Amino acid sequence: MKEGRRFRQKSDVDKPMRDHTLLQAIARVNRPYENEREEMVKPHGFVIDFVGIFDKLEEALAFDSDEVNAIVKDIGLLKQLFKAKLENKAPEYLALVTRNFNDKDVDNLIEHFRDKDRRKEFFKEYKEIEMLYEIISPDAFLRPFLDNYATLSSIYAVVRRAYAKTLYVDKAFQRKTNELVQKHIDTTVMEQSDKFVKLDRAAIDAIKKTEEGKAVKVINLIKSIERTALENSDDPFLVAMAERARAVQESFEDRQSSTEEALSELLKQLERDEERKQIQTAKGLDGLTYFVLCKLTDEGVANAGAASKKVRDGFAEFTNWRESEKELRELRKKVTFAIVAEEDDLNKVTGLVDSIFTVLQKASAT
Amino acid sequence: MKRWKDKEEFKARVLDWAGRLDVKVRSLAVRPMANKWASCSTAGNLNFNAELLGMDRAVGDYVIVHELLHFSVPHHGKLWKSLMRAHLGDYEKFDRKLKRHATRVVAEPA
Repeated sequence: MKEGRRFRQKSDVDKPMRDHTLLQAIARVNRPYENEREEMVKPHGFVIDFVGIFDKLEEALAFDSDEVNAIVKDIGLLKQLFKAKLENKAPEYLALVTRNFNDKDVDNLIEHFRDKDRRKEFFKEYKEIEMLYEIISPDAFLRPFLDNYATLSSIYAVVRRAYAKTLYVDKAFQRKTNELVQKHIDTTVMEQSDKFVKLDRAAIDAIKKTEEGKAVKVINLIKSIERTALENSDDPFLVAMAERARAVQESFEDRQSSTEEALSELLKQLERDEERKQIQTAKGLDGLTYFVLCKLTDEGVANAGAASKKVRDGFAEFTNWRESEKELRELRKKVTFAIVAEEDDLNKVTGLVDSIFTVLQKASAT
Repeated sequence: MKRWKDKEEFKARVLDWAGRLDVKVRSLAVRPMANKWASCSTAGNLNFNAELLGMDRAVGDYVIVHELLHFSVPHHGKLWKSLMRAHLGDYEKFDRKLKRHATRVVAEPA
């Protein structure tokens, strides 16, 4: 009972192979891998045959028939388990969808699965059922369960997308489940919980106007704020707002704040940011320069305007500061000199430099 | 926690599971093992770590079914996981228990 290496990323083979060794090598490269926690999925491998070794494949694939028979016998047991799960476990989840995944349904799902433990339990249950489906399918036995299984899969996809830690979620299902869902469900419903909202005045007004779908709005706003910050990682205002949005999400998921409170907090942040953008545009500055200007002005640094422009020039010069330690060192030096030129208190300067980098480095940590 | 009475009771349990899972056992031993909880060969030889006798019977069942399933499913993929679940329910908790036990033994050597 020893665990082999679970996840092989690359395998270079430069020796002759045939029969079982060949089969094993291909199987290892092709071994699927899935890590729910890290959201990593490797559905299959990719084998390049430079020397025509695949000519020997037919021999290698001649399975021992006893092995195949044993699997066929066990399938009966798995069918019973699948049936039991669909009949006993699935109904409580299926009951959450009553209107064919309309906005209200999606909102209910997001609200219902706010709690992390509840989500975890559902994800575990679903993954077990999905595994069984992938093994059993195709089989006429599955026919009476297909609609419910497809609905259950879609519930999983909606909830998973809504609460995924990473912003870009692509593959939710295993292959056969994916085919079934495509056939049975309008897959656009799954995207509702993951819609990108352009963050501007019009969006804020539109969100405020409609009363319904508050949980969906909370989730979509948080994701939109995070995505905007990721795409504008040199704008400290957006980076800081994304961090506050994550705090709102934590509190929303832990039920420390209600859906209404979470939504109103997010809207408040967006309003504040709109005001900031207006002033910034009026001054003809970009996010970073304006951020530094505000910081320096708050700390009473003289000639804050000139210093903030010099800081901006530093960032423009050392564009790889996130990846290169050397550039980071040089940039910090340049930023420090820019502020020191206007401020004699060295402790204050160090504090200011630290706070600028702390905010911006948070963008690279997300 | 319900422990095994003795080696014989454990072996009887293995044979009981082997009957249910349709596995032909050629030799069966429960003996001290340094690095594994159990091992099996496709020829039908089964070895179990004697340390299991001092542990919860449910954990023993987990190791037994784990090994016996390898006679028909030689990996830890979807099929193996689903069969484990079909026979034992939430089997992962036993796996976690074993891992915790192993960590404790390493951390506090006798």
